[in-house]
Amino acid sequence: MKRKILFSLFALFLCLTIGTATAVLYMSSNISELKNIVNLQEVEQLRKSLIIEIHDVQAELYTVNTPYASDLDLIVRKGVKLEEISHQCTTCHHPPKLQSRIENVQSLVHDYKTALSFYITASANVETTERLKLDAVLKGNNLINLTNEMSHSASKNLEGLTSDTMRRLNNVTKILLLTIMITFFLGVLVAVNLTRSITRPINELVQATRMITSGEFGSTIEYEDATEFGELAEHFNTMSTTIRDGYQKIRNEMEVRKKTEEALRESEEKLQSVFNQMQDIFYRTDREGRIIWVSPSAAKILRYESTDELTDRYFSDFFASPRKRQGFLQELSEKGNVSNYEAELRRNDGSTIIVSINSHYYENKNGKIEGEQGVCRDITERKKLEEEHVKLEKMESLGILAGGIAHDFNNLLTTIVGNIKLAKISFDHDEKITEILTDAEEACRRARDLTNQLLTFSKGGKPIKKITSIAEQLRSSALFALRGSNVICQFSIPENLWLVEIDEGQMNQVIYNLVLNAIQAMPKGGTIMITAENISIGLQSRLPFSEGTYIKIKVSDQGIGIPKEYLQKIFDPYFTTKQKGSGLGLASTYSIINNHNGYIDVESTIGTGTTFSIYLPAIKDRLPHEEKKPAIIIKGKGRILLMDDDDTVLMTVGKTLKQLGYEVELTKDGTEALESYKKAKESSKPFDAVMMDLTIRNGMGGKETMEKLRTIDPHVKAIASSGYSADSIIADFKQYGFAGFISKPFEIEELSDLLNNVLSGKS
Amino acid sequence: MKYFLALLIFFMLSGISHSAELTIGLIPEQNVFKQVERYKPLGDYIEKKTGNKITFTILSRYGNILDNFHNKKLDGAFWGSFTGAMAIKKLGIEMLARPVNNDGNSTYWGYIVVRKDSGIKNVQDMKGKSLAFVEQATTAGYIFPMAYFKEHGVSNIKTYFKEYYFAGSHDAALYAVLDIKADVGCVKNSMLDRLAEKDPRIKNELVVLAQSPEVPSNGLGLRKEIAFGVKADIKRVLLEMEGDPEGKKILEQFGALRFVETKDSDYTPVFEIAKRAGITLENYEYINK
Repeated sequence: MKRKILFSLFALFLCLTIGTATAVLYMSSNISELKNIVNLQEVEQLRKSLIIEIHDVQAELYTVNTPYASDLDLIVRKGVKLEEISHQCTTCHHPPKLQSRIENVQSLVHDYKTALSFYITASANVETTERLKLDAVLKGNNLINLTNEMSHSASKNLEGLTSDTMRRLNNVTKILLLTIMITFFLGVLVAVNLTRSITRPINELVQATRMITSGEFGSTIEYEDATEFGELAEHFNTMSTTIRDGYQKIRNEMEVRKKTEEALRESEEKLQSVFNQMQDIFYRTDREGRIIWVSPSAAKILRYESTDELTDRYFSDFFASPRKRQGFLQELSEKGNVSNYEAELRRNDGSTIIVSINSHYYENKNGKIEGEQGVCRDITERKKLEEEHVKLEKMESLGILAGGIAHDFNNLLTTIVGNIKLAKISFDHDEKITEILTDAEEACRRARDLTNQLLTFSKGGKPIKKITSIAEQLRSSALFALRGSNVICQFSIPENLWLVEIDEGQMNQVIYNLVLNAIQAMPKGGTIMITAENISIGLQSRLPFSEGTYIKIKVSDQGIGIPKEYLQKIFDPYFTTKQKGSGLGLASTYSIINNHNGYIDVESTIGTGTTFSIYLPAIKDRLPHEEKKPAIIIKGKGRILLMDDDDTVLMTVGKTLKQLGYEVELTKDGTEALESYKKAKESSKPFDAVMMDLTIRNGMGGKETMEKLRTIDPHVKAIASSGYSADSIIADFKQYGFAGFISKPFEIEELSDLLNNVLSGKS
Repeated sequence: MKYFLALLIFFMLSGISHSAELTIGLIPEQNVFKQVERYKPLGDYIEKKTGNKITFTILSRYGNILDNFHNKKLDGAFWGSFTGAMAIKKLGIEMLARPVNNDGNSTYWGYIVVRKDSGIKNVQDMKGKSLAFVEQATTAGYIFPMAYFKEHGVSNIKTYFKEYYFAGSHDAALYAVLDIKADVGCVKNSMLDRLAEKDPRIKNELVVLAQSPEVPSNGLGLRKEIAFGVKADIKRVLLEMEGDPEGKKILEQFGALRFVETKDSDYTPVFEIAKRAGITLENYEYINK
């Protein structure tokens, strides 16, 4: 095809070249003639201008020295123009003959100007002047004649030359026209032929490429010949097949890759999900110990916005204690790993957490250590619980100790109180002794209150409730707490304050704690205000407890106040702001109020003071509390079996019972008591009642003895006594078969009343 | 204050020397075409360097320049020595500069010439001959020969000579003798020298019989009323032409070496020659008769 195109183009070019060359050759011979014509035309034009100018200047000759004379400057300008015209053609390449004639004209112009000037400037007689004028006129006429002559011969020459040249130019036109026509026909012939040769294979190619574009890979064409198109068709077919095979291969590969990527993404998502939900910190550092990767949980645990804030920092920098950090790094470098290493890590906000770290070095493919990686587990809660557990255990053992002491102390008090009472009975005629003994009795009562508080603290047990007015208790407990302090107390308690069902001992503790807190809040002294009022809580109330009637007790101080952020925590166990506080006071208060179905609240303003408000369900519909019976001793009759492991108690109570008119048998434990009871029952002198201490050291206590007694005698009338009120029996003594309960130390009036009731069947 | 004054003076000067349009007259010292041709490049140069538009106007008579100075609204002229002297006296013209000819002189002098073959050797030989003056208002072309003839015993030229006339220009007078249209001619040396360079006949066929004292060459003088700055600019340009390559070229075309300053006193020799000729300048009739 290339050869065909080249040959066609060559033929066209040859035809055009021959035609043009012929025209050019013919034309070139005319060019010099044309130049001559142009020169002649130029000369002719100049000559005409020259003649006009000469005529113009000649006219001046006849007006010089007359009023019609032109301005000399004008004449000079004309003269200059005349000379300029005569010199204009000197650069042309005129034939020598013509050149010489032009020079002749220039010389004549010069002479004419000189003559003209001489004539114009001269002042002479008429003869001389006329001579000068004639001289100028003659030179002017000569100039005109010469110019006219030149013009005539030039015109003739020009005419001949022009007609000759025009004829030749016609011939050139003919040659060019012929050339164009031949070239045109040849060109059409070539174009038609070439178009046919090109368009057919191209159409087929276009068709095939369209099919490939529409997705039919592997489409081929059937064109075959020896030209480039034949070769192109062959290559196209090969290319199409290659594309089809390649496409198939790529598609297969893409499918495999897609599946792999999907699996990888799923795996990554799973892994990410695991990491996101992880409660432990996973980390990895470089050789220098700088964090290069850390799990998202780390930011959350250490309270950073994102893990970006953690990366590039030294892992060891997060240790709160430099000593611990040193220890960790040393252990890691010595052993290559660290197991269950407990340390405090510092969080972003400055607080710390306790973590258990398991870490080890990791290596690259070549076995070179790349850095360290590990897991930190937050064990702060666990450690706290452990600590609390230890504290609780400690408190429990303290409670047991306190309970034991209280028990023994109560036994002692029982003996003392009993003996004082007996002494009072013996010396009832002597007022002075009676007064002394009464004081001693009062002191014993206070001692009993103290042991009761000790017991409540130790057990925090179930309240032993009774319906009572709290008014008096508020006063006495507060004043008891105020002892030895520089704080005074004001009360505002209405006369008609409703009754409440409370454990007096526990409530004492509540009031004692609150007043003690108020005193400690006012180290420089001040006034505590205690108020009590009856309130009804409706459905609309914002208070978080059910509707009903309540009494509200408020204990307000003028102390330093409690910071807002502590207010929610003050009832938590072990929370304290005091250096020596146990953190149990308000916690047990809260617990006691809660056990009474009540509610405690606190309000505080820094610098102004704190107010604790207690709400206790009120007994409104009950009859007012009966007037306290006057302390009288009721004497009785009958056989009483007394059991107590404390000899002095046994002796004193025995004496007291005898004083009351009863016959008494003393036993030291349950076994002894059961034996005596059995014996007496079998004999004709059974016991009318049994009084047993619930706690017998190294022996059968009241509860067990009671169970056994009931098998011997289901109708046995028994009274339980205890100096240790933690015992659950106390609250529900009837459930265990007891007819009554008396807590040690007790007074003779109390004992006589209880025995009277039990024996008469009232209790 | 000092700077302020300097600035003020600068602005005043620059204001005064602001471009003007000057019409300068030319006397027909030679063929009027050649005269215009000779001065045109000089005028263009002054115009280019000073910014003042220069227009030349040629006069057909020497004396006309004095009479028509105001009519033709001329601002100045390249004055001949005689017309210059008259202009200083009558028109109060201020002379600025004049050229130094190629021979090194800033002056010229007059010749009385005859053809070698005329046989005229002195004034006596001239009796009954024809005489070509240049102009009545020229030093070389009239005043000097009149003084010369008077000093050599000619009391009346009208009777002494067969004929006399005023050729109007120096070259016309010269060629009148050379072409035997007059026997005696008056011409200035500078014109003779310039024409002789192109026409050897002048040196070969002519002979000088008398020579006048030196008078200043044709210099430029302007009206007194022309702004000081304009005059100063033009004078400076003319005096500095020699040092400027472009100016140097113009000077060559003009046929001079440089321009020199001209004063009124330079014209004293003219008055002396006139005195010798018995001419009183105050009431001298310089129109040809």
